[in-house]
Amino acid sequence: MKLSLRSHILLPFIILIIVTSIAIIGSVFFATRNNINNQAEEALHTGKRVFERLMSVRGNQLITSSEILVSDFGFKTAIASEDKNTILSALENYQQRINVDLMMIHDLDGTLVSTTDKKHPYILTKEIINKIKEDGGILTALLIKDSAYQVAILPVMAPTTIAWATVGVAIDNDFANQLKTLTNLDISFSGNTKDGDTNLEIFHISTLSTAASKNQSQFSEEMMHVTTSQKEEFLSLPITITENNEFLIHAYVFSSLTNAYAQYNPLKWQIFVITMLALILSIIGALLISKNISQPIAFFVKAAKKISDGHYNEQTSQFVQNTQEISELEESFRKMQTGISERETKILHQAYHDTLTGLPNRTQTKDYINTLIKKGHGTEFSVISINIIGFSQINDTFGFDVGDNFLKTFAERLNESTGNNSHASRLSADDFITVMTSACLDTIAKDTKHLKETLEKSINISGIDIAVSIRLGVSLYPEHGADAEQLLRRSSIALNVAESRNISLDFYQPGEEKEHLKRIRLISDLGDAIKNNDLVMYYQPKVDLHTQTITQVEALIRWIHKDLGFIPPDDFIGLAESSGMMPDLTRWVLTSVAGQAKSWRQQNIDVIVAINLSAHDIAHDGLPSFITQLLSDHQLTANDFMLEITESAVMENPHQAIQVLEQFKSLGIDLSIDDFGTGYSSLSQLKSMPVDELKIDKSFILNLESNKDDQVIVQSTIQLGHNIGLRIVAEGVETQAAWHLLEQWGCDKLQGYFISRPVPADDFTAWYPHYQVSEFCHNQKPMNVALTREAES
Amino acid sequence: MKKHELSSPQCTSTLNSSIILILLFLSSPASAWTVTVLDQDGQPAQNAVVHISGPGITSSDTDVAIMDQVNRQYSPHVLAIRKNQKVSFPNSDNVRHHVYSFSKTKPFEMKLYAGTPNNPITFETEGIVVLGCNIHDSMLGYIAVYGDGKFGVVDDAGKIVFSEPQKSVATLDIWHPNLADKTKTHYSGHLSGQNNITVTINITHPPKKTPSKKNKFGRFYK
Repeated sequence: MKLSLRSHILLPFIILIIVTSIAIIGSVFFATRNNINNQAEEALHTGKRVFERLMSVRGNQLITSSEILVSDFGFKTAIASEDKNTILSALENYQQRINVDLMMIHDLDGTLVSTTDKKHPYILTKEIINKIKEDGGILTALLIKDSAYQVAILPVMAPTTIAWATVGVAIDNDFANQLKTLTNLDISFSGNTKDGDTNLEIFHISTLSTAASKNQSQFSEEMMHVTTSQKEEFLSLPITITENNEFLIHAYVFSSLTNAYAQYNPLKWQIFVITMLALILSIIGALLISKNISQPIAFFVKAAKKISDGHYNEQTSQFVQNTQEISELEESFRKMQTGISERETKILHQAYHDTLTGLPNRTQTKDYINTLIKKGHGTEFSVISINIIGFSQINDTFGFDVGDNFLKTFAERLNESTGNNSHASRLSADDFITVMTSACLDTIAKDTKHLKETLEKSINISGIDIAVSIRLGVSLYPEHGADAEQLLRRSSIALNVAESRNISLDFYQPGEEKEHLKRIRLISDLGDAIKNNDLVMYYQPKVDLHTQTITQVEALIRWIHKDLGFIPPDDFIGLAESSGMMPDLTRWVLTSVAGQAKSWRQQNIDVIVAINLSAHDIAHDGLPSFITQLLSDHQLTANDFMLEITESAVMENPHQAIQVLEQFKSLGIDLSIDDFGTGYSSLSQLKSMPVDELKIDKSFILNLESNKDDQVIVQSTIQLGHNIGLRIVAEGVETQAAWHLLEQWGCDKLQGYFISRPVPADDFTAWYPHYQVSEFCHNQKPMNVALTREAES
Repeated sequence: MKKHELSSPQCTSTLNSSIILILLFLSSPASAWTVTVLDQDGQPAQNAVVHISGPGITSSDTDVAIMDQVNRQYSPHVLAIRKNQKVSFPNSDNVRHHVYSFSKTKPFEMKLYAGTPNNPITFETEGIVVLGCNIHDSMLGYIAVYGDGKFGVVDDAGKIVFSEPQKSVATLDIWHPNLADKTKTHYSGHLSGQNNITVTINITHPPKKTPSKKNKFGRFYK
């Protein structure tokens, strides 16, 4: 169980005070008790001394009196008379004279001769007689029946001992009271006869009103505690008066502890009251302190709870507290509350909005779409991905400020144009999304077109009119997806498709996503394939019609995917270009081919290897130096390589392409224009390009023998090429008829299935020595091995 | 008291455990013979009285005996007399004395006097008389009264000489003031005939120093 703060503060206080109080009361109690006991013991010892002194004084008086008595000649005469009456009368006479309680005469044997107290006859024991003989007399106490006497016993000398004279005073209540008066202590006497081990008390007097219980069977001289029947407690000190074989007489002095304790009772009460007061005051104090601490804490706990629940803006009611620390804490708390509130607003806005345009971001759009979906039946809407074509050029041309303003303006326009029934957001630099709700699907196409027209109006930034060209990808709910994520993705796929097809608007088609996913997978696998050498190079020979020999091979890349099988180069090269892996791929191809070329040189297979370069390759510098290094690394010359560039690649950026081609040319590498006839190149451009060879696209060759137009084009191209000093290569030669036509028209080299399919390097190595052009032409024997391989893959 | 003595069982015993009588018969001449009385420590038992009796043994002395008082002491300390013999109590001190006796043998009192009294006192009864002085507690004297036989107080060496033939002696008694059992020591039967007879008696020596007044009774308690 968790204690409250107040209890935490209160408990130690209370425990401390209670412990202290108990300690004080305890120590006072023990100290007073100790003190009382000590005082009582002291009083008892004093009492004992007084008692002894008194007994001594009485004893001396007895001795003096009895000495005078036994020395009296008349007394002696009376004793010597042996007349009992005379002796008794003499005793009574002397008893009165010296005022004693008992007088006795014994003969020398101890037999009682005469006594003043006939009720208490006593025979002197041998023990006492011997003592008197030894010491000349004895002062002792006698227990006679139920009375006790302090006595002096002396010999009666006439002049030799003729009798024993006893003079005694009673140990009685008077004596006890006299002692009590002197010592202020209670006193008691007891006399016990001895009978073996058992003592029988036959004499007892006491100044105590009630009998003190003595539960001690054995007598000891120790101090002892006794309690009366009325529960009064005494400390008692025993004093032995006499002890002999016959009896023993004790005195006990008592000091009342109960009375002494009673004197301290007021003090105890005072301490108790003071302690209770201290306890109460401390509890009040602790309560006040804990209240002063716990109240603000409770206040802050409440405030913190509000904040944690998200209520930043509620002003917590002012807490009045005069403590400096609490005030500062409260101030900090308020600042924190305000700060958190402001920051959360900001963060929330940033979380759901684009900072530049202020449009919602993808997250919010997702939420919006999901909200729409939740609305249920009858909801139809389109998710439109928008890309601004060539936005990077705007940035490059006019600078980022203009670019940003352009985007802002575009965003505003997008927001306005879509109206209340839509929701626009920005995904990245030039990618936007808008969600349009339409009454029915039929209107969507119209609305989309309308949107496109609205957005493509030129934007004026700082007096500059900038044309806007956009591309749209559309996915529809409910047809194209069940949730926001799917709809957004498919809309984006549609946009990609539009981009790849170079069209400005595309609606998502079922299955496109699968294609899209495959492309994504190939992109990721291609990187691994390059690293792991999963790609292989195939080689297709070219026949030189002038020498009737194989002088060149074209290196063609092949990718056999472990799961997807043969991947057409057109597919993955496009992916490599778009995913930025092209430089790696080209370098891999070049390195692989260089290795193969070197191997062939060593086997005296003298063929020039032609390598295809993509538009991407020639759009960037750095390749010429790489090739130079590669050639020298493999002890190859520039003549061992040939580069083929497609006409369309050159035409993408003719200026740049020509510069790079010049560099290759300066290295001494022959260049060939691939797929010639498909790329819209002008004759002037052709003229300025530093190429050595034109490779007529196979689309003109495949049906050559039957298509008159192709025949005209090919024949003209051969003549044109020859006229501007270029060699002509025909690819796609698949029949002997085509061969003969081309040979007839003066074509320089042929390439195609009629000669050989592209084959792995080892197959080419094996095939090459046995190839004879003449034989080949007559026999028309295609290269079976290569065909088989191609089919397999 | 005599009766009591006679009835004592010791009367018939020739040898007692506490009292040893050695009778030595020396030479044959029937002249004088000596009795030596020693105490239990072998010291001469001064003030002892030796009394013999038998047929023909008589004392003819009838003179007045003298019990002088010198330096507040009776002199002699012990006086042995014949029955009916007179004793004079002259006072040789320059202080008066009050001579008394509470003994049953002869109670008497001679109140304060000085010099020699005119009338000596006759002791008619056999027995012991203890003499005191009423004003001088330290004064103590004894008179032994015998009815027959021959008797005398031993000298400082504990010796006494008898001339009567030993064959005639029937009894021999010894008395001493400090005898342990306070009775006469009595022997009967024939003597050995020796010239020197030594008798040992048991006596109680009085305390050598008297306790001081303050501690007279010793310890108070117990």
